[in-house]
Amino acid sequence: MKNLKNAEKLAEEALKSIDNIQPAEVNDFIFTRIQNRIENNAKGYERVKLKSMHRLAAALLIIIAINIISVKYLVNKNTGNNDRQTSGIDAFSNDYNLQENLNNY
Amino acid sequence: MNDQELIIAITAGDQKAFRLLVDTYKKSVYNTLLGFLQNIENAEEVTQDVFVKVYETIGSFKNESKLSTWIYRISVNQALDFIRKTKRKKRFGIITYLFGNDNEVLHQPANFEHPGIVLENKEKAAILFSAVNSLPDKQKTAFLLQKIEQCSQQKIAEIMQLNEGAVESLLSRAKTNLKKQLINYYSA
Repeated sequence: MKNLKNAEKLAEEALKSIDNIQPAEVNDFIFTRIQNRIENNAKGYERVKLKSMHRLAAALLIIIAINIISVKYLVNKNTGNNDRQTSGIDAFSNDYNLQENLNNY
Repeated sequence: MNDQELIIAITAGDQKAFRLLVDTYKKSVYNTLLGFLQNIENAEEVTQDVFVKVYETIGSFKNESKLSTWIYRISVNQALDFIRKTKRKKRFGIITYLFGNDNEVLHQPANFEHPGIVLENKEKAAILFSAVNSLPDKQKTAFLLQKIEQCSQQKIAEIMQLNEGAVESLLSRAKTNLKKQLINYYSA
């Protein structure tokens, strides 16, 4: 019981121990450090901005290259089909002697 | 220079105005952070973070509250973020704390000596600061703003964006919890 009363008394004293606390002093160089940090942040931001610009340019180049390759491939494919189609028609006309018949008319 | 003029000047890149702002509020910011972080180096580092954030976001400051209230709010948020990050790091590191049932920190070494406390109270204050660490964030914020910064209940309510009744309740619960913990400490 006595122990509890003593603990309560000490607890009260501890609670009051910071009642008249004095403000602690701040480091004199705090402003210079803040300024340095702001400058470093700005430089870091510029670096990140430049990096993302490079990445964006690279991605755009890749997309353009893929487009060019695709267009070239499609054009080649179509030309190949036309040749094949023409040769098919020629073979058909040869088989039935259509060329000669046409000349006859 | 009033708050409004100060904000306009800083937004325009006036370094003298920013220096004036730092000089005006550095003591409040540092002492608030010292109460939360209980470490001089960490408090200095987070003070820098607070002012960098103020500088970078002052353009978005709306005059819905006082500049001092806004700076206190940033300080409290930065302090709580720092504590959360440190706890997360410690969780993955070597366990140096004794945990209770709710994974709540029950005991931390009572070794923080606030430079603004008279010698005869240093030991008791260190025990109190250790107990403050285990309070929930809102109770801790209300208690520290009142005790360290001598903020009124109205000011605390503005900083925490609560009504005064809620702040009164937080302060009362904080004191009850602290008293319980301190009695346990002294009776052990």
